[in-house]
Amino acid sequence: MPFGYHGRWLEVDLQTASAQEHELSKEVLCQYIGGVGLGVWLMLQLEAWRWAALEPEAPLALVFSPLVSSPLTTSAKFAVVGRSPLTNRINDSLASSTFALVGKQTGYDALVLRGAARELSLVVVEPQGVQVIPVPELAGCSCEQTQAEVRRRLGPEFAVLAVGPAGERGIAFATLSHQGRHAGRGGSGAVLGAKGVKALAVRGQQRVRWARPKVLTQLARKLAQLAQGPQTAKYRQLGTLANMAVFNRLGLLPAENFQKGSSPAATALSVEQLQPQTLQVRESCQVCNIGCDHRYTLQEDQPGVRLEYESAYALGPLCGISDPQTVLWAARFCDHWGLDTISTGATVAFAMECVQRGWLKEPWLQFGRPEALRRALELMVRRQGVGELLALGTRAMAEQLGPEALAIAPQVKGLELPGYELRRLPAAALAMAVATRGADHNRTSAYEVDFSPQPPENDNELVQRLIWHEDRAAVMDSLILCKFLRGVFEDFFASASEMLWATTGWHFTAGGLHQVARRIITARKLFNILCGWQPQEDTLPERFFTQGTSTAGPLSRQRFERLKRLYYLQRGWTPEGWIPWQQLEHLGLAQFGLLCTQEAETSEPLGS
Amino acid sequence: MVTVELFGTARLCSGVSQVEVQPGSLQEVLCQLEHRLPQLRGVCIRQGKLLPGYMVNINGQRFTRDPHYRVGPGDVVLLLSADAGGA
Ligand code: SF4
Repeated sequence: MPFGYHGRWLEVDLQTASAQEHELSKEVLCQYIGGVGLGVWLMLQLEAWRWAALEPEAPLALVFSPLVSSPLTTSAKFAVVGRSPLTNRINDSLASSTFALVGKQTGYDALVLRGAARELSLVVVEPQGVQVIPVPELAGCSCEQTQAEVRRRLGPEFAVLAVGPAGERGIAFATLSHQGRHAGRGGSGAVLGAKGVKALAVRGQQRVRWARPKVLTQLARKLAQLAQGPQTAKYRQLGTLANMAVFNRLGLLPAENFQKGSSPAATALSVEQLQPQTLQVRESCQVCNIGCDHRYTLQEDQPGVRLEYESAYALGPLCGISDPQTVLWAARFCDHWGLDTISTGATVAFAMECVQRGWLKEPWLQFGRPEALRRALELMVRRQGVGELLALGTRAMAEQLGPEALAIAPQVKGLELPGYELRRLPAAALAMAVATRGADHNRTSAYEVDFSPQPPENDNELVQRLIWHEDRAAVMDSLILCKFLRGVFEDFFASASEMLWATTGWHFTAGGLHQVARRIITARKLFNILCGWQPQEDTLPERFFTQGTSTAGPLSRQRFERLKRLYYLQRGWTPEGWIPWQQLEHLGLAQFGLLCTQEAETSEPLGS
Repeated sequence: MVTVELFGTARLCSGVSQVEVQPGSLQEVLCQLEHRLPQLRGVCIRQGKLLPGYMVNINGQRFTRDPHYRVGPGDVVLLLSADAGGA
């Protein structure tokens, strides 16, 4: 057994309630590390691109990593990787806490679910084996109720990942939830729901060995100290909601479905206003000494609601809502039902603009009306009336409403946009257009290039820096460490090498880790190509090129296209974004590219 | 005059959202701010220098941490966390 890993993964067939173990070679682990990296390798290995996201055979992987169960702060995380029902492309999302720790103790580096259960079921993975237990009585239970009930039945030593009613009902942006944290983006909750799985419970006691335990303890101490430094102060003191007032002031806060770049709603929803007015608690994921999770409540008898900037932006200004009570209610509603807050808010905001333009006949659904947001969410989760349309997400909705609607749908590749006014942020705009999982701020953080005190001197440098941010994110998401640590490292790649040496005993140079990142990012792209990716997908909503806001002019299409081409070339791809054979071979991905050749019966489907 | 707008921790710990100071280098501007709002000392500024984790934006356009940056009359300085963005 290699240090830091178990060296195997488990494939669970839900239909037959059976499981099969598979080895993980040192070569694969060195090439993909864990988390999202190992997840995309599994998806290629299992040829997941053959099935649509909600087909029973489509695999869904829960992937741990070499750092999980180490004392390194923020390392208790796992990745959920599969195909997204929103984008039909690769999807990877992260969640935290006990499920990662106990999940790894099952003795596997990844659990992959395939097939579908005959009825709503609970999947149990423990040392005695795998069980698929029918639980029709849990239908309609919220994420928290489901976790509590499963632990009551099985015992407190189990960690439980649950699907809310939104996942059961196939809402395209349903989440997977564990201890109040969600693998939120891209609709993995709908994938598990389509498999008839209400919850997955894990228990185990198999621990991994560390290559250099003393060094690991020293590194953990140092990292914990850094995590208490000024670079994470914002997260500890304020949480991500600190972005609200700043983005609004800078004209970067998307409002009313990206028609505006600032909003009067921001003041009431800002941390500066909410902190002194509300009762708050601060919580943290397991094995984390930052604790960015700020929960707000406006009334003593109500439970605290976790309010991130992204949730507040989408359920607030994007829908024109300024009432904190309504936004907290909506965030709580999403947690309870298992809905991604960004996609939920963006879908309602998009519908509001469609009503404004007369494309949708729901006159009550107006910007700025708290009761309209509440009613829209209720209809969405019940899939009643306009809720049937809302449950699809913005791109599928727009496809039903017509090409004009598609031009204003706030999405890339079908995934709804996070809270950045991209017309003022060229690096973030490019990063979101080319991101493999769709509109994505978490797989790149390229906005840091736009916010940098040392702005890039030219477009070449802008793209170079964007790629560095993408590479860093690919490694962080594979190790896995929380992104909120990203500012504490003087040299992230050197620190990551040290951590991998202490946990696995393997030597990675900084250059070697960049190569790992390149492989992971290219593997995701390859997966998308195998799913049918076309160059025109790497773009932004048409309105960004034709309409400005009071805070920003439209993006120059010419410059955007030039940046995109530079990005592809710097990644070693063709000017249109295809992957040359040479690169597939160089990165050890040719075996997967070959599948594509055989299917398409052409000699160069991926190359220039 | 120069307007300094405070965000996040700077506003919460001082209770002030905006202050007017004299033009000068960024360091001189921040020295005046520190003098007026001593609660900020050691939190985000020390001796007119930004502590790690903080930066400023000038007129909603340019981000900087450069103490020599010339802040002119009519300029607006936003005092921010350096870690803008995030999930
Ligand atoms: S910083 Fe926040 S999100 Fe990251 S591990 Fe800690 S509590 Fe979880």
